[in-house]
Amino acid sequence: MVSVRLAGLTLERGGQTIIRHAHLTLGPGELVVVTGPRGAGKSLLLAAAAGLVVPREGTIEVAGRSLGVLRASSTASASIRRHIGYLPSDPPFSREESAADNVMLALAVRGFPADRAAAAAEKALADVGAAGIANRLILALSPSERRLVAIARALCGPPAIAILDEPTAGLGHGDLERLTVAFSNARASGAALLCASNDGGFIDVLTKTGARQVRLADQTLAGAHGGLRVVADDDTPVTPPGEVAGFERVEQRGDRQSDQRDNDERATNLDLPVHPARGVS
Amino acid sequence: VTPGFLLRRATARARRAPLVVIAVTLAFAVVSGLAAAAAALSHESARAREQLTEQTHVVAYLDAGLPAEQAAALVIAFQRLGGVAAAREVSGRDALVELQATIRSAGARGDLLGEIEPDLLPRSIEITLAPGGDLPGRARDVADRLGRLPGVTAVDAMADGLTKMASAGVLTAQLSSLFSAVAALAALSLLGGLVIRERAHHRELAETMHLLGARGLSMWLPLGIGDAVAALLGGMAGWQIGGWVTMLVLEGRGGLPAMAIVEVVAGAIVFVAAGLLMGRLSLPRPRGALGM
Repeated sequence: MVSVRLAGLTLERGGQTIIRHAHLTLGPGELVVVTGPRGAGKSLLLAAAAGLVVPREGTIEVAGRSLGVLRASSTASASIRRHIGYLPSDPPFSREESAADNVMLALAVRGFPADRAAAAAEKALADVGAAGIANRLILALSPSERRLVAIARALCGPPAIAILDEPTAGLGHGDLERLTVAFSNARASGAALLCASNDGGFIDVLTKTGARQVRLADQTLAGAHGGLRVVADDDTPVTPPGEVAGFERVEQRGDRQSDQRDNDERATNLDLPVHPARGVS
Repeated sequence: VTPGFLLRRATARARRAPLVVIAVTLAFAVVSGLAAAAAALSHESARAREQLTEQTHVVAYLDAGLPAEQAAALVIAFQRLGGVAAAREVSGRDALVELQATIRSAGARGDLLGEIEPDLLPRSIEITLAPGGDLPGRARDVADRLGRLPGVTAVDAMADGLTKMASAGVLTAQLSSLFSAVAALAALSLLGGLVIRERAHHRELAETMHLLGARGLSMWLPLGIGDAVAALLGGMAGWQIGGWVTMLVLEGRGGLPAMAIVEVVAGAIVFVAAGLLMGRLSLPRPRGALGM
């Protein structure tokens, strides 16, 4: 069974098309790392996969269930989101509860048996190296400790798919090794992992554990859309013949000068190769 | 999400934030206490009106030479008059006996009027007015009719006393309305203020629950359960305390009207519903897309 399938996904932000016609499929135990410059749409793509952003076009399927047609004002139904462990860039918490309570809350919502929830929460926290802070209130934790709790919350259970946006942000080197092990444990339990990261060292380690990498790369062109195009690249087979390429990003060129300046900055900061358009399946 | 989950979350919240639970309980107690004061005043006002009606008589003093048949005919005529509950002829002797009884009930010596001749007081027709509005006006109307009749020497419509008592009744009713308005305002400001505070406090919790895939009841019911229990306890206690305080202020008079079990259950349901509503309103709607 497919854990998550994005088909022909077109995403907008602030009225601008950020990602066009994206395809991505993950099976149980698979790990895909999405990389790319800031603003390329990594977080938007992950939020869409988590059912929290309404795509303009395309379909999202999670754990064999389609998110269906979403109303413009709504997000994916809660019953589907319960199969998803999601770590946004700024994760919210129940701050007056302990780290373990926050993880147990996620387990309860996912329907995890109450009598085993405490042990499962303890294990999830221990997997990410946060066993020592299990009983401390979120209010009393440092940002990096909160990050670890949020990762444990996303991976606990485990869910059908864990979606993690920059999981290593603010973490130390020792935490990264723990995370790698936690990711492997979650994958071994059948969870698919979709992760956005620009942490080179972490990506290298994950790649060695069999992770696929999808890069959202900049390519300035005066193509059909007259804008900025972003394509996906990985080692998986290309899109079936006749299908539109993987990720494609188009920006309206209302302010050509500022857009060109942004593009120049990206080109300077990120030495991203230009790839032929490929699909990811 | 099971009932066990909801109860665990509700009790955990009460342990985490006891001051909020206490504040909600006190808010409901204050609102309910003010409502009880309004109800007690209204009850006392109604009771006083009833008492007033029972004691309101228009007395027509008859000429000593009026034949007994004519007096009896007058009594029958007044008994048939609209707005009159009863009419009876009182002899001078009976009037003296009633006067002595009244004096004794007021704590004076019973033999105070012992030396008075039995026939000193005149014969009279005593008319009891039917319950209803504008008692002083109706008493005056009956008195006017009596005064025009031959054989009637004087009429006592108790006009001054009735007017004063009617004014007191109006004042009590106005006080009751004032307490009701204050209770409503207190409800709006106290409970509304708490809801606004809690909404700000729970914004991140709402985002968290939404992120995890919680929905509907599982999101707000733990808050609602806590608020419902607090509302029930505070409301019931406030009602009783409000009644007692009002009775103390009225120097033992008044008190809360007796309630049937159905009314008690209905009141409890109202408090629980108000608490649940408060819990529902205390959780803001999540933004959904988490800043996307």
